[in-house]
Amino acid sequence: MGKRRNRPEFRRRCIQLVSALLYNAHLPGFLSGSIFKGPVKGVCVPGLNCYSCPGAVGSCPLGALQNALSNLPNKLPLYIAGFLLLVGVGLGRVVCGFLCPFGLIQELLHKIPSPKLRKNRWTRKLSWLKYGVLAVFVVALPVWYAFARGLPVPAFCKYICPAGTLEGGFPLLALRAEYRSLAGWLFSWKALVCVAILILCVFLYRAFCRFLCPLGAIYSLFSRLALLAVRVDGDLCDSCGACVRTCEMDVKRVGDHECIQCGRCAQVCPKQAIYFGKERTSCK
Amino acid sequence: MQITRAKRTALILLALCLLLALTACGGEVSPIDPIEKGDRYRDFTGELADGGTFRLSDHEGKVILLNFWATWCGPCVGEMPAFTWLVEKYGDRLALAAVNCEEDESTVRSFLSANGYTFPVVLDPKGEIGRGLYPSDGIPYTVIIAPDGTVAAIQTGASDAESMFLHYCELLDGILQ
Repeated sequence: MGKRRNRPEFRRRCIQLVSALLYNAHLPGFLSGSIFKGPVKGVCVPGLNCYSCPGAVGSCPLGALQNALSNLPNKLPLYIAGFLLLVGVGLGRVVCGFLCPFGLIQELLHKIPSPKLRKNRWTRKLSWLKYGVLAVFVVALPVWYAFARGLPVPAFCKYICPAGTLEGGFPLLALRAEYRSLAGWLFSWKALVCVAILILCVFLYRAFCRFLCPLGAIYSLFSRLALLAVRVDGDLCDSCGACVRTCEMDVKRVGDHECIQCGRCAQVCPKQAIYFGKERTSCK
Repeated sequence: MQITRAKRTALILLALCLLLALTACGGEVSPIDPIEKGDRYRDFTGELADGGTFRLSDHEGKVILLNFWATWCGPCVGEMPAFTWLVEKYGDRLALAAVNCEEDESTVRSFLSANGYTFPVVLDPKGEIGRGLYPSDGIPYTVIIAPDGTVAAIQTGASDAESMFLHYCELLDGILQ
């Protein structure tokens, strides 16, 4: 029984691992500390994966968005807007649950035995912070600097992103001695933020996703529109609440904007009312 | 039934591994290795943003500072005032040229006129100079060439203009002594 129940979770973990490996297929980069710059690097991966990771073969959508906004008003960010719309409408936060390497890292950290902080109304309130991070660091600051100073400032990458520090900053400084002289107070700040978030994730499930991730915030805007999503069959559901109780994200109901579409709720639903996929048309 | 499923899984994994390997192999092959300290400079001729031509070998005998930059690169743009100060400080002893990386003329010219920079800026829309002769992992990328034509220092990345100005002065003073 255990094996059957865990098969969806096992499948999800495999997809997470394979996608993390595919995003970072440039394995020689980890030996030489060089960044891949082949033609496919211009393609964004759907999840949070730093461009500067020595293994990265694609671009980070958040980095691409901030850089594109920095080109205003001369160029419009059409490519990245199109990409986010496409992925949002097609997958929404399925990306968070299945296709984000940093989400995987957080989940693995949470497996470290420790007291765990369960979700509560304060974590629910804090989950709104990520929209503020999106508005200020991903949108407002790059746009302001572009118009007011003509200076490209990808503020989220520069001041916050722990994935960038972990996947790009640390490996590059470890492998390339000539970059170390550039690491000043800003790097110290980023390192502190990164370590703090990673430690927090041990105690608090996916703390970065829930409270800070602007990419999750973007995809969450598509939670009602996404083609592929976790859904509840209203005819079968008896509102027992097992799904929301089991879920470690700050959801109020299955598939809302906090849901990372991982499908764990489907495994605990006593009525098998939760399914993955397109909306079922009612047979009534 | 089980064998078929296992075969299918194995085939999918094999396909993914192939995709992985192909992607990794499809990396950009640089035509030339990055220049290193002690190497002789690589000569080039390029069009200047304000008209005219810049040939690197014309400046042999001076200390040459070659910087590779782009308007979309924050640290490149951030350190640029340092180049104005360096030109003011060292005058004829220094030949400075900022090679733009693969942007179109109009982008470069509007950036320069908006910011009032007057030091020589070389256009390189096809990357023949940057990627072709002075490849690097990232920009800003600065190569300092001693009067004897050998590379004396290489700097990748930059912080603020004031710190970079002090840093470049230290390097240039060391060569000019």
